Amino acid sequence: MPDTSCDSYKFAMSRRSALKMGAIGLVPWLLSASALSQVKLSKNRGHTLVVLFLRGGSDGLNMLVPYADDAYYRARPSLAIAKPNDATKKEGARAVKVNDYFGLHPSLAPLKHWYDEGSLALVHAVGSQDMTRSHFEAMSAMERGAATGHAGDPSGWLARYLIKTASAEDTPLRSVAWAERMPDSLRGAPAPVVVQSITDFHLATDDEFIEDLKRQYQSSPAGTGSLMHSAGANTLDALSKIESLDPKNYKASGGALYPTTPLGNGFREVACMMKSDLGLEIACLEDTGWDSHFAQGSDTGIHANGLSNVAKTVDAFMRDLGPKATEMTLIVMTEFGRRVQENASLGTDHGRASVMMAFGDVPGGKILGDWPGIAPHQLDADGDLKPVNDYRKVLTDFLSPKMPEIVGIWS
Amino acid sequence: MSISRRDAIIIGGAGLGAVALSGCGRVASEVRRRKGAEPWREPSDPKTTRLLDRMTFGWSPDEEKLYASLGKETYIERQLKADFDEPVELQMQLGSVDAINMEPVELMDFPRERVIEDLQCAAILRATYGANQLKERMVDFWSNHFNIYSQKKDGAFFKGVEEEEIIRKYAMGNFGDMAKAMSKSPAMMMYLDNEQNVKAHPNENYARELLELHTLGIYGGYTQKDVQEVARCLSGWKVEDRHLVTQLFAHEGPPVAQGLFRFDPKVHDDGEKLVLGQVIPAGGGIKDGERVVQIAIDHPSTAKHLAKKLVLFFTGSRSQGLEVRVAGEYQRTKGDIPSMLRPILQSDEMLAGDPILKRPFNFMVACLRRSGALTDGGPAVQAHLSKLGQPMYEWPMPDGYPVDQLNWANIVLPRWQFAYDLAFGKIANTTIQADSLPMIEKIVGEGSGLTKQRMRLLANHLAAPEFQYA
Repeated sequence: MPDTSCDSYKFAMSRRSALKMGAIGLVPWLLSASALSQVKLSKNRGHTLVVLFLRGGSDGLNMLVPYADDAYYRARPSLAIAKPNDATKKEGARAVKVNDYFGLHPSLAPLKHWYDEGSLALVHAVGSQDMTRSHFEAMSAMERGAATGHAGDPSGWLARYLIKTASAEDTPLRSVAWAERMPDSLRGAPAPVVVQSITDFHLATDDEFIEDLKRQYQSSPAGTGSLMHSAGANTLDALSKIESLDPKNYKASGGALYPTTPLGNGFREVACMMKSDLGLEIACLEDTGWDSHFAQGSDTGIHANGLSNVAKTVDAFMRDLGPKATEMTLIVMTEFGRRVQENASLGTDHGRASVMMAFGDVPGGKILGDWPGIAPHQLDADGDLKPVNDYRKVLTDFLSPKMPEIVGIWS
Repeated sequence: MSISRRDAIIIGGAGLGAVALSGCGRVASEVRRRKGAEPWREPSDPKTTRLLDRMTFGWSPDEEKLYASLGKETYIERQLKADFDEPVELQMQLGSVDAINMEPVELMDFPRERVIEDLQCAAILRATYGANQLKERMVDFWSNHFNIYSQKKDGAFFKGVEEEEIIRKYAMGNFGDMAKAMSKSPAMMMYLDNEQNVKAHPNENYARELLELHTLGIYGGYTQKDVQEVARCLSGWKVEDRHLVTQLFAHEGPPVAQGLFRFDPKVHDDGEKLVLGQVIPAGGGIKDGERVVQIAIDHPSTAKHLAKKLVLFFTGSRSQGLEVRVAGEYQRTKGDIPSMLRPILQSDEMLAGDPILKRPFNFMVACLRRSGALTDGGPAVQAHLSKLGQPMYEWPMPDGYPVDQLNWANIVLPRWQFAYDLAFGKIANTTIQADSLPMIEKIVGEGSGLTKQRMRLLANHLAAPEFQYA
């Protein structure tokens, strides 16, 4: 049979990535999922990290608006968000005042409550050292925890954290991504699970087929199977754990109403899993459509709709979690911000720095970090807001109190 | 001037709503009639299996028979020439797929989802049944290299013509020809916002991806300043969006049909530019952009970038030596794609390197080929493809679906579900006929008819970890 000729599949992780990843990269495949299946479900470390990545580069200057700076209005004649006290505009079309200099985009108004309550911290001018203004390089940098898209370790920053903190008590649902493909931040993680929705995470087959799968995938001794072997074994494991959930009939608490968007559904499922104590430690979610070269809009339009979806989703998530929100940190990040000067297409081109938001167990009610200013002489040579707050430093500050191992994982 | 089909549409008006899309589904399944299936043949040796698994969308007894009859050298050369006749059944099936047979402005009368369904249908049918399998693999490669997102703007309606007249036309031809045609492709210009790139305020999106993804590659030696200069060169490149092209616009040059490339000198930045060290003099008009594309095609970084991607696609890993040879072929032949592929197909890196995890599209097509399935390529298999994670033309970013197995290995359930549903006949308009059973006897065991036990053996075979690799 042809496939028996492929017995070298067990080395299918390419030699190059094996070499590059070195010891770190090889650990995950030694952690046999079948061994884990023998372990009783245990609680996680008492803390869950939820990361929402806005893919495409969200315009930070219209998220946290420097309304007191005239340079902002000069650079954005058609896209600027009106000042909080601009009497010529309706309330829903004006920035929501945060302090005397910054205001939130009106679509982010639902988040002001969490800021006032101390559960939301904001940082402006966050970015990496990547100068390419390429989505892929900038995302690659941030998802691998590296300075630039071409520097650093090939594995993901969350993967390295998970490896560093792995233990025999880990559950198969320790890291879950709600995405169509595994995000780079989990590259090389021990047994990440990727779902579009946990509602769909089941097999509509007869039991005999599943028994056959177990024979095919769980037969190889720990560490000797292919990447597919270990992924399959972990999937079978996760499958049996998720069976205990009933996400379709999940009732949110606190009057929370999740938007009926993929993002809203994803966060609803994260809350469902967190409350079920299935050992979820890292949840990755993502949203696309942030690359607003064209018709970005101001208080309404494409960017406003995207922000509204995020704000309503996060607001529902926080309400739903209630007191449990202190047992998690939610990070909202994006690969870069946009050019300060709007373009002729009523949009903005790729820039360097954007806004990071952190919810939950964080020193909230504050705008943290430095602000480089947006007057022309304060921008970089290409007219972009300077990324004076390195995203790795910001993440370390937010996460290290509950996840001390995060300190050493950057590359 | 002869009246092309496109001109006829303009003259006749675009009101073709009365023409019903006939769809790929029903007609297709009625049309397809397989000849008596070949009985199972043992692969002659592991290297042949590997060669066929990489050059095609999956080893099959039919492919092995063809290979054996031609011999290795001739087989490779024929695949490089892509001159095998396509099966009549396939041509008939494709004839009923409207999105590849109608013009964008005609298609715009139909729902977007219906058009995307058609495009995916054509891709699945060609990958599964096409005779020129290496070409089909290269179409997949180039379609991702020049990726557009069919959900953005009117991309869905323009993707069909781009696929037919650029990607398929040049997939086994000359890269420079493809890049030049692609630079004026309406689908690409819409996707990368070049319609908004005008003199007053350039939009850099198209300029950046042209250099970063289509030609030189990131770190190919260009700067942010080059991106801005290229954007100036490409200003005024747009898609004709006016309904009536008549004498009214005669002073702007020959008329262009709606939905085709148009250069608008009024919004073009005609000043002098400096691109990658070369001065582009003022007053060049449309030639500015054409010159930029030529500079990019001729740039040594483009040779390296393409060599790296092709080697990775076929061997699964980087190889300095092989990349240098492939890049050398690009420069020697000025972009001849078969000349670049030849050394890869003959290389130890491909024949002896580690197995490559099949991407979801490859996996699905390999299952169909391995089992001798009859499919209409319609919504039922497409729903599986979507769950597998690789619906065609639906990757939103311009870099195309990733090739690295780490992006795919953890999405396992949908593979198992597809294997099971295919083997147990649970996918609409996709069947494994009793006729095919002799061909896959080694998988399903001897016997007769489609017994439950034989279906189970087939499902297990396709769901096995080994089958996920090529």
